[in-house]
Amino acid sequence: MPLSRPTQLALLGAAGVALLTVLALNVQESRTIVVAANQAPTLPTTASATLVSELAAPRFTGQNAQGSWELTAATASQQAAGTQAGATQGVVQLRSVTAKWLPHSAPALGLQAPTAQFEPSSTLLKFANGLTATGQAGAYQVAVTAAAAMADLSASTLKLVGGVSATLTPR
Amino acid sequence: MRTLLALALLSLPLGGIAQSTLPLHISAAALTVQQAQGQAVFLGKVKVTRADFTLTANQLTANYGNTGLTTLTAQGNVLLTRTEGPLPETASAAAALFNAQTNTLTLTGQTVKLQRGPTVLVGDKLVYNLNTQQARVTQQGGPVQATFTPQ
Repeated sequence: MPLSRPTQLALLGAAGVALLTVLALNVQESRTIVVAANQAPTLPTTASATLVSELAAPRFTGQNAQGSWELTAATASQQAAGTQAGATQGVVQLRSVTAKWLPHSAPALGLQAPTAQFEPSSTLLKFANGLTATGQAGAYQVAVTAAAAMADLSASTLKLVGGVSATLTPR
Repeated sequence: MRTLLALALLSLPLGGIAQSTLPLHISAAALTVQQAQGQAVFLGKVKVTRADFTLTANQLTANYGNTGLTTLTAQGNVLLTRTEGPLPETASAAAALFNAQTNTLTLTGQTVKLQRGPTVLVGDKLVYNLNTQQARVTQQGGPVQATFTPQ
């Protein structure tokens, strides 16, 4: 039996009210969750943070009893990590590195490498991605390549490892 | 008393070393440079190559100063090969020392063997003067062994 016009309108109105109620309830529910979270914040028991600082075109210099050295790079970055227990400073990462060692009693030595790194508390310079060293040895011009190397700036020593190849060309 | 039993009379494989106009290539597993001591040490399967000779050894140490190279020392399974000339020439020893000031090369060891083609000299020390290109093979307390094969 067909519903009368007033009945249809009444049913539509009831359905609309029900739908609005459901929507309102949903909104109310989500608001409740948000408010609850804000009202009862929980303090974290641990916290940590990292900070990366970067320098463009840095230049480092130093000297010891045997001579002086100069280190330049395209960039130098250092990651510092801090926790509630304290803060630690990570190694300094250098990119596009050029180093020059000027000893008092021997010809100059040049180093080039795509990357290098050193710890703030150390004088060790590590080259993990290859290295080219150039210099003079008597009547020869010397070029040395290696897969990796480590330089001790305080002791003026350089240790190259991994497929060391040296070419000595008469000057 | 050192007994001198032979003066080497050969054109030795060491003759080409006197030349210094050719580029030199050195390969090794590792290299340590100590500037304060003026020393560079090549370690592990060292191979020195030039157009006219090759040198292989376990270790090669170069000492240098303001004026350049002073001494060059090869240690362990030293083998010097001259790659030029009609006959293959080799010198083998436990150690070899090149003195840049006296321009001499000294090979030492229990068996120092010098070979040019079929001709062989064996002693325990060989001193080669690069200026005069004269070599002297000696044997402590015994005879130098020489083998000459007629051509």
